[in-house]
Amino acid sequence: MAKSTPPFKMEGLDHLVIRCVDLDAMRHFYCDLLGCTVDRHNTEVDLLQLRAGRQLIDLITVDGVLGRKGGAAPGSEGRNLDHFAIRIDHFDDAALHDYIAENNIEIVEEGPRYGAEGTGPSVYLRDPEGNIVELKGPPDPA
Amino acid sequence: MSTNAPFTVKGLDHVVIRCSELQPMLHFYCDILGCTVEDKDLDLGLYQVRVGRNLIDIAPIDEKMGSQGGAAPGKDGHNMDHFAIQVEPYDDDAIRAYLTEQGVELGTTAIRGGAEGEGPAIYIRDPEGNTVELKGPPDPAYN
Repeated sequence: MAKSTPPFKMEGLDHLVIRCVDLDAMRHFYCDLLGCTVDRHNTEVDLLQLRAGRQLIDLITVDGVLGRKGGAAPGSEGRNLDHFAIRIDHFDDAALHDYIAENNIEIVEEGPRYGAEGTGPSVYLRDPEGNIVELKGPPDPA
Repeated sequence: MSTNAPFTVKGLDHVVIRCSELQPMLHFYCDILGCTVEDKDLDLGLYQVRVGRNLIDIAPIDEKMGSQGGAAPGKDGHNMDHFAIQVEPYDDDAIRAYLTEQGVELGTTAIRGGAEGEGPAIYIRDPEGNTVELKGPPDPAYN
């Protein structure tokens, strides 16, 4: 029997949507500290869309129009997203550590990791709501 | 306000989803949606699935990485509401027919905003209850 194949090809991620409690704290982290920018703020559905390079990180509050549909706020366990990774243009280990320390951001772990473009340096941070965000440098030929 | 971060954000690289049962997830993302398993880290319990230029990684909760997050994700209280994958081409009738034949739970189709503009998109649900948006190219009529 011929197996059906999908009538489309997967091109890549477009956006992800994080449910949060404190939108201002999240916006500060992703914009002021990581350098994302506000792309659009749809106040009708309480959706804040942040530009993260070629993709978007969207934030919705758990008491907002969209966020309410997902029930309770995320707890310390039972999360569906373990972490996500953001590709950064270059990875200057010393400058990155200074910057992270200056801004009192928690480092969860770090080291070379395999990502979409190969193995390269990564540092794992925790955002204000406990989500783990991996900052991933370019693949290292070594 | 501009940041003085010593880097510039280029884009998403991957997402890591925690799951209770690996095989149905691999069937969904690979056999149905057409992704491929690119790498497996059996020590960590991390299954890396290629989705175009990015990866969707799957971490079963009974293996090392997934177990660090404690209990399995429930029906609510998710930290990720949904995520979206760009697909090409986007033929809504063909997509709905194909996914229905594969037994996938379908949601609504609508013109929705994404990283590249407004375009057609359908919400579907993976075997663990995560909402996945399949997003077509931006439609000039809406941008």
